[in-house]
Amino acid sequence: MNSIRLEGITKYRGDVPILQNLNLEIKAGEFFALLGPSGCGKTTLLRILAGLEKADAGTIYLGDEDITNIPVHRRKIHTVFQQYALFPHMTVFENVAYSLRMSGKRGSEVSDRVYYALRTVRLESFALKHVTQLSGGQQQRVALARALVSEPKLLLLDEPLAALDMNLREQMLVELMDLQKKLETTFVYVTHDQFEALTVSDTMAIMNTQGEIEQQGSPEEIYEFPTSRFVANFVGRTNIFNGTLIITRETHEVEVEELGVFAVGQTPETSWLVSGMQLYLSIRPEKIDISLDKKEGFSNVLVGTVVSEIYYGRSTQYKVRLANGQDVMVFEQNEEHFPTESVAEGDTVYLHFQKENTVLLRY
Amino acid sequence: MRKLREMLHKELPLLMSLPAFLWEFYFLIIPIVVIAAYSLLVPGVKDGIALTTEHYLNLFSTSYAVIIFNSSLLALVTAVLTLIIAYPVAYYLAVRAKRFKNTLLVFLILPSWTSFIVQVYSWFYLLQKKGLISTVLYRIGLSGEYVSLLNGLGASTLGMVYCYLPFMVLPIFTVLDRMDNRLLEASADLGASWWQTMKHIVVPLSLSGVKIGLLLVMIPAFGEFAIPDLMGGVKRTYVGSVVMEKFMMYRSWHSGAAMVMVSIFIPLLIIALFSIARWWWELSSRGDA
Repeated sequence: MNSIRLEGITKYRGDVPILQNLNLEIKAGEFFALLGPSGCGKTTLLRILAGLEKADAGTIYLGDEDITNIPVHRRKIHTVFQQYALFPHMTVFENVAYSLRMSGKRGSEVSDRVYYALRTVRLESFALKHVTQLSGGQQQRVALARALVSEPKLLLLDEPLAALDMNLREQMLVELMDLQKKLETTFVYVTHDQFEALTVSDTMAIMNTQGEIEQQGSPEEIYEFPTSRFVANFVGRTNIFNGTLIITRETHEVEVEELGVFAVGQTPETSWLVSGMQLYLSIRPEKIDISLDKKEGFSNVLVGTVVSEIYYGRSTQYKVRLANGQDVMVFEQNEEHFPTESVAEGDTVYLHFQKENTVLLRY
Repeated sequence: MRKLREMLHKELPLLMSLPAFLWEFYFLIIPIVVIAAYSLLVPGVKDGIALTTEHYLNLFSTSYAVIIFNSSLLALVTAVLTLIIAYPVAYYLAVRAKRFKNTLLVFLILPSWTSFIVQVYSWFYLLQKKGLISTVLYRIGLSGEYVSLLNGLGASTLGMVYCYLPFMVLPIFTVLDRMDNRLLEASADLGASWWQTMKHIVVPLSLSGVKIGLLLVMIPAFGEFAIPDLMGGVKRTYVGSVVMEKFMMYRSWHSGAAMVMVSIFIPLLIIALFSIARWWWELSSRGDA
């Protein structure tokens, strides 16, 4: 089992910086997701880890070993490529056997391990088929078996599910998680899909468009306690208010122009909070209660008019316009066949939320 | 009207390939059929058809065997040498050259835009006695006198390789260019060294291009006589010169036609042997699957 440590990784493409002084630590045996918008440099980072590209500066440690200058074919880090990159002139067996044969293994040692790997991804019966005869999902599993067969120290996955349709993707996600638990190999999974990252990972890191790591933590930490406006917006959806912090002896409050004062909860990291500072307040749409009548027992209540309603099946999304003209998004679970009250477009509604569910973000 | 348009739309690819097909048919298929017919007919028979294998059997003599051997050797040596030179060039152009790919490709094909006579005579200028190379060699003292580098097997091979090189580079370039470069990365990622990647990924995936290149070089090279005559001096007789003599000088079209059929058949035979060798090689290297 091997941990990964990246120190000061810097990469330029011509004069354009892709990654600047990036530091990252990945624990041994964890399923690590690297999430970021398209073009943020996450694939470049993965390629540097694999050894397919060289960083302009910085050091990579695999366990205690400095692997920065070890060439790609000696790294024992294998990659599942975005379009799989299966060898089209070979059968499934030959594709999976490739890394074993390249390291000089022959005969039954190869076939035993290949069939074991194919069993793990449930493709035994396809061994002698040509890879071009397989469906997208099957090719994906061949790519997985091919990368895992020689027990790499680290498995890199570059948007491995991007080419699959929705249902297959969810199914493959579950299989990937099971596989990783079983093998206990460290997985680094690169994606721009927040749903995939949240589902699959033990730890995730969010990269911004400048190629910096904005935040790293468990999916729950990232979702419930984002530390920046970028992360709050990029992972899941949220409502952001722009206000001024007021700290009294007992409470924290945020004053938002034209809307009044919001009671807010304590953020895990509070040292940066100073009374009177400008900041953002974030509240997730599903943490807001919407109703036609004002309810008791909530720390915050807002009034607004429903401007749109989208029915999603398991939930409904409302867009509510507040007194200051700002729109707030609300998700309401559709818990009953015949709801006791139904909110419709044009209705005046009350929005309630608890102060503990708010998050304060740096301006 | 609409139906007609739909039909036209559906059959458009076929329609558009029609001129090319007609061209091929008229200038390739028909001539080959005519030549094949001539090679099998008894000359001078006016009414009815009389077939004979005589024209072919006549070729089974020592003098013809030497000529066919000369041409086979010329074709084979040319093909092997162009392959050795063309492969790295095609690989570089397709995989490494990136931005300059098209420019370099144009430079490669540029010489073949001129007549081969011009190409051959520019080699004369370089290789002849008191030509550029012998002058340089003499002046820097590497040779005591002006030497002619023309008139030898080396010079004729050089001319052949030079003229036929693009026909080998282009088909190999085409398959390598179409190859997904990520396969090379995947191979390296899975622990293959550069040589292993070449052997197991690049070469197998480019074999179709190599085969076409060998055909494109070997068939005309087998019938070639002008380049070896001009650059090597008229010391050996090649199939091409025999065909020309038979058609142009002796007017014996039937035996000339038989010679043409042989000159088509022998390169195909060599290619077939190549395919069998490849098949055998694949079979033996797959032993432990």
